[in-house]
Amino acid sequence: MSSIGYFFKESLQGFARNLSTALGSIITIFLSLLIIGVFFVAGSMLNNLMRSVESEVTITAYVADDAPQEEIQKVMGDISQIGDVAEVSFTTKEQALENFSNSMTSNPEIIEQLDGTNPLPASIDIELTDPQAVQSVAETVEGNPDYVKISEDPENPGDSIKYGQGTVERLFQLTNYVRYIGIALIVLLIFIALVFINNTIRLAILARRKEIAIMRLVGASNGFIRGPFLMEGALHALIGSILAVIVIQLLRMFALPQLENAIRFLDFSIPDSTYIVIYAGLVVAGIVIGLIGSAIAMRRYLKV
Amino acid sequence: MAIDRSRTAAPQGGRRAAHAGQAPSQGRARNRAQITNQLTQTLPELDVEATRAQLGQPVITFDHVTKVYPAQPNKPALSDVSLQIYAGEFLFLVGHSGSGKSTFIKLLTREIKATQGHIYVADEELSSMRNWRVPYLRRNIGCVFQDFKLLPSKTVFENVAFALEVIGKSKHVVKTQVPEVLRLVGLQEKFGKLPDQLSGGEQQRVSIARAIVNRPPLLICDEPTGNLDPQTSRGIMDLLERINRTGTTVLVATHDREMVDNMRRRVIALERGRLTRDQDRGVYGFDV
Repeated sequence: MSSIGYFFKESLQGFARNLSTALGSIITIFLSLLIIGVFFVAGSMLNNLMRSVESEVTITAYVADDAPQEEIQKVMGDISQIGDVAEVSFTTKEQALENFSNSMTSNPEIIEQLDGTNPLPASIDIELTDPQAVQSVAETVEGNPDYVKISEDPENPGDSIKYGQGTVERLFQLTNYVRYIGIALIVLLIFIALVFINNTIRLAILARRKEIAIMRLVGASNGFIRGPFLMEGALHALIGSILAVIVIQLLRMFALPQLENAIRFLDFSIPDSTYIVIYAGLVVAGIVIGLIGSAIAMRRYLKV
Repeated sequence: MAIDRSRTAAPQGGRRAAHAGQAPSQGRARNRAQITNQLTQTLPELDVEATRAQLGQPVITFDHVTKVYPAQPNKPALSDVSLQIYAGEFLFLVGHSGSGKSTFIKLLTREIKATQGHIYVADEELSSMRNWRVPYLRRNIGCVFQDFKLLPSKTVFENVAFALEVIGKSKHVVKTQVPEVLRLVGLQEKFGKLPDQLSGGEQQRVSIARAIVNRPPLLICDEPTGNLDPQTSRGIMDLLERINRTGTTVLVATHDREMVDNMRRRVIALERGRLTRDQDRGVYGFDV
């Protein structure tokens, strides 16, 4: 255990000796981890957002104004038999108008323009247990002959069924793109951080070449010679990652409320536990990068 | 890795006795020769080879060792060198620059591996030795160099202590062994001085102190007096002789003709990588 103290002392000395390069590698680590961290936070937000969007996926099957009530009941019974369907409800023309006028409170003139007429159709609303199944359920409803009879246009029943076709798929595609770009960016950033740590440690090794030569001469074990340098690399990375965590926390405290104010309809909140996992991950990743970077630097210089 | 120190006294005594008959040139040696003559009147003549065999394995064995550097594939730095070094010996390694002295020493400390042949140090074969064991080999070999290799930012005491600290010795060991070894090399007054504040001879004493502070059974000196004036060199050689008397095997690579001729110890001569002479009580033997 005494050598841990020695490593620590030596690594602090090395730090002081090469302050400018040490700062360079700390800043690189800090920026890399900051971007990686922001990416993860944004990713979790997007995931959350996706989940809330998915939970709102419903199928609306419009019904012709003259459809008899018993037909509608029969179709609703059929639909509730389909797998993945959670709930089936009916919205009358009056309810549809009311919902519409509720959502248009900011421009009441639109409602006034209707002049008391009601252009909105009645509809069967289907909620799903699995949002991914939305397309197959919609096709099943479309294929139901009873529904075709009561749909607005029996020639073309598909037109009467709305479930935000394409929107969900596009969202999935978007998150996939974001994920790939994110992974590529993270790999690149980690590589840059490794190169910088590697460089800093190499300079530290060069500065202490004489000492290392003597250590090898008198038979210091390789682990003992490496210790201070590994410690130094890890120390740089630790400082860089803590800075990154602090900055992300500051962003969360001060910048996020502004963003939430600006874009009210999206929910940016993610649980505290996610933040803690991300912070811990950043610190661990930083230390691992530091250790690997300095280990690579030493492999070249400390051959037996 | 235990180079047996207990064998030390015996082979040396045997060698001395065996060679006592050969033209003693100095007073001390003549005196010793007289004593030996008295002994040989009662004892049968000793056969050197037989004595060696009786005394067991040598500490260092070179067995047809060849070293070829990749940069010079046609000119081996050492070619087909075979020799044995026994515990407690004091020997000189002589030869011109480029004759392979440094290669010889680097092979011993396993800085480089032999291209062909085997080197055994205390029954351990160096080329097949695992890398992680090399530091433990080096703990048993003290090294002294022409350029001292002291750390300029550390004091005399710290320089010597460094050698113990980095092999994980406790503070207590450092506190007791460092002053002791500095007294042995005659630097008891200079503990707190920096290397720059010392003369060349004193710096070399510090580096010898550092080499022997861990009490290695083997001390290798590469041109230890190369930078020093003759009188100071004499002092360093006296010190090495004193260290040898405590049972440490001492190997000195040198250019210093006068010293080799004066000391009359075993001489190993290398010429263009070949072992040309292995002579007990030898002389430098090269033309200047």
